[in-house]
Amino acid sequence: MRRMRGRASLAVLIVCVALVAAACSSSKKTSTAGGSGSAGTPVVGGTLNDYQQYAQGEPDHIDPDLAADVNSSATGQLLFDGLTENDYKTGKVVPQVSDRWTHNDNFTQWVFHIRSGVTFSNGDAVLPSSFAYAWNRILNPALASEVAYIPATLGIKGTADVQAGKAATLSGLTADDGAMTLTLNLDKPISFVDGLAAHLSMSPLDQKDVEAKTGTTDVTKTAKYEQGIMIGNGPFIMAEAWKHNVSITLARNPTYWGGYEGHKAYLDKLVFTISKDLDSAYGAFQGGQADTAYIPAAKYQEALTTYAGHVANGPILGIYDWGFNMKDPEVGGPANLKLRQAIALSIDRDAMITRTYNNSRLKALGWTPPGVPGYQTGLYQFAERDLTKAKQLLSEWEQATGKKAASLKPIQVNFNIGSGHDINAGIIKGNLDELGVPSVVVPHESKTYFKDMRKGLGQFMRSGWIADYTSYDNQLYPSFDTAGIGGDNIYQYSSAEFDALIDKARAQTGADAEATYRQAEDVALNKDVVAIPLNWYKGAVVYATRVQNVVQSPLQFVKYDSIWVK
Amino acid sequence: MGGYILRRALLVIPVVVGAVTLLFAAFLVTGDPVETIAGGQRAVSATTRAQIIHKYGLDEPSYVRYGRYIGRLVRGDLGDSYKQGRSVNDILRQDAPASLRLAIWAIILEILIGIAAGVIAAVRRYSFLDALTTVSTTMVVAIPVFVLGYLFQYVFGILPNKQNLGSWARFPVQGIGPNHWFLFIPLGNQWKFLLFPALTLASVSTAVVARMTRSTMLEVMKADYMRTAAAKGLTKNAIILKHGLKNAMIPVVTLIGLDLATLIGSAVITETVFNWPGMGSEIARAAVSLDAPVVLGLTTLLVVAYVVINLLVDLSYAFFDPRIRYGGAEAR
Repeated sequence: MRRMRGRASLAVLIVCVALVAAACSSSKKTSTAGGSGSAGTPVVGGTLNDYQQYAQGEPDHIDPDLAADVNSSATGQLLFDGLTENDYKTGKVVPQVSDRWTHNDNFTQWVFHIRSGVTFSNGDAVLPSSFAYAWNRILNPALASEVAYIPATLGIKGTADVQAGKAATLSGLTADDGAMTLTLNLDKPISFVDGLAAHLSMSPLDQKDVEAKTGTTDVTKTAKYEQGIMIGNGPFIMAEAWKHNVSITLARNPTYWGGYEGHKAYLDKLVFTISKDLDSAYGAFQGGQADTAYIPAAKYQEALTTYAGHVANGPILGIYDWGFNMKDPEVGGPANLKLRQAIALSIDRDAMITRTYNNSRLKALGWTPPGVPGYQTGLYQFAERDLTKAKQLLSEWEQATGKKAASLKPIQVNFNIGSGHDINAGIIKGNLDELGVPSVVVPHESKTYFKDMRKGLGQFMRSGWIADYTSYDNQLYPSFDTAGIGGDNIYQYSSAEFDALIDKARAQTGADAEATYRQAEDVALNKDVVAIPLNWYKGAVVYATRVQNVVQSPLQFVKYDSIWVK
Repeated sequence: MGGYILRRALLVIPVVVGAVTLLFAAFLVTGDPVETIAGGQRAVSATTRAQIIHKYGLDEPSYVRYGRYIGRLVRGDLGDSYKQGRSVNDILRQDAPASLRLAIWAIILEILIGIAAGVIAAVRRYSFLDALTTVSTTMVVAIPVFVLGYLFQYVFGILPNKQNLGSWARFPVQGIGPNHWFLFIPLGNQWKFLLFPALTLASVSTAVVARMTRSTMLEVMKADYMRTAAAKGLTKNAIILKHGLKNAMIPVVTLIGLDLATLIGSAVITETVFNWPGMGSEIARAAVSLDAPVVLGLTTLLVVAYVVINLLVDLSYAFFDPRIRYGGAEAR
């Protein structure tokens, strides 16, 4: 989904405004994985005033074909159901709108069978063509969707032509509304299509409603669909149009078929308040104005004590890292491998966890976090700080290259302003000083940071990744595959060995695929030292005592359809 | 006077054109809007880039785009936001009333508290009240606005909830609430959502108004006509309010007038802390994300508001000082 931009603070805004002007105790009872202990029998009714989802500003989009980050996808998750779903308890792919699916031996053809009787909230049937319409729409370059990379990952035949504007529909996609089947013919074998189909961007759309509300069949203009009341097939419906910078209000979908858990939403109404400032939104919770809030890092330990038993702080499938521009002559390439290894061993991750995050995150022992099928602890060789060994590696690098670390041009420690990245950058600079490598911290404006890093303008760069769907592939491919250069592979990393392992893993299943993905991770992290994983994300959602059964999935989405209020 | 007003009103045109031209030029040189339009998080394919360029007319020469923008501006069409997928007119319809209401109430509080404090301090010069005014205004000016905002939130929003006080004692921490108004008058419990954002926004200006009122009042109180008024046997209140305050008001009114125009568009911090959906934070956000149509559209409105409010301030001088006449050469 989502190269993480992080949660900014008011300080960021103040700095931003200044720039514009210039230009013109630990918890006794914390939650189990991902959520709260639930209590009692669900109660139907009531309103939840949510201040956590949009605690830091409004989403860029809520249309499932346009929503590219966690915040943007949150509303769509509640409005739309896809072919499959990731069970938040087990992480496994479970049937959703598609009740069964098959594939050929080499994973190049997949057939999804669509349940009969599933409807959009306006009564229109959800058909195979509803998915085909949405997939063709998202890939259409006129829509300029940032999340088109998800359906493009499937490599359905004809994808390149649609994305180039040469065709309007995917030649490899057959929607048979009579037989209620959706057939996908792929260019390359992909063994995890069912998992990828759970992603929001693969949701169906009611073509009739989209075109009626936007008054056009021109895909370019249907981008305005999200400005009105979108019709979906999920547990909630839009109670009113998106009030920008104020709220998004949803209501229970009375016609919902029940989804994989077999129940409708319990809440009558769900009000997402869009806040401009994280601390202010948390203040609203402390003041009794809100039912839920996102806990600012500085207040995390205090919140665990004050609201013991009412914090959803399970692990999230996300990684926070600092990585190298592999095309940079000073730090990239094989010649500088030992320099990168030395830097990796010099970083004090524990200091970041305590000083920056107030223990609200987990120390990363690898790139792929626990919870991803195939995860193996101890894979990463540089997880523990070892300054002696780091200095030895640096010395070996100096001998091999004839360079002197002390006389290097300072290495740029690039980061986007906000969310404690500045504190981490300071820690890193201190670590590099200890190592004997000169460095300079280079803050960047958040809105343009990743744009610049994608262009290769960074040197040693802050980044992060939250999984789009539960898959080892999604942890590695976007960030490290050659195909991701210009996109999420901000490291400009290109390795034939890594790419081949990804291709191999994609044609495998189960333990074989997992083993191959681990080899690929080993290549990127240990052999080439592209990025330095620093910490894994955890949830930080606090909720009022009247709120029951708060569950946050490893993909960071709160399951609002499972919440009830007393 | 009619001619004067017309001439001043016509000044809006060059001021607006100048501001729009400056901002338009600034956005031309600050970068490529295609990535902003496409979302800014991922690389944009050549095909998508071409589609966006065509859709927004970015392939046309800048002077043609400028001409088109001015043409649309004249028709009241401010274009579409690059980021939000909705028209700037829609954004304006939502944000402008909220900003205006907050600014009006900030100004009302500024007038009530600032002028009253200034007059009391002047009349009771060197008294405890004078010292209190000096100390408190200095303190308010010194405290950063966001700190004051968070302080209000804690004392009147969070603390009463922690102490389980009744709803009468609790104020909402943030948000615009039900958004129920009659023009700018809050209806129902809307005032609870308005009070502290307005106080916060008014804080610095109130302190400045209080100090300026004090100093101008002290000047005026030395004037001959004040002694004459006292000799006539007028009561102290009548002397102060009718002769003193009225004559001391011209610089204060100028300051307040300028404040109103500024507060509409510059309440970024207050809007952020209290989550008030106004124009200031909208412009700041748009400027950072290079959303040129939003910055241009909303700034244009602010420029017009600024000119109009200044005109009204100038016209008000005649009320405070009847010797002032408008109309060029005939002015005395």
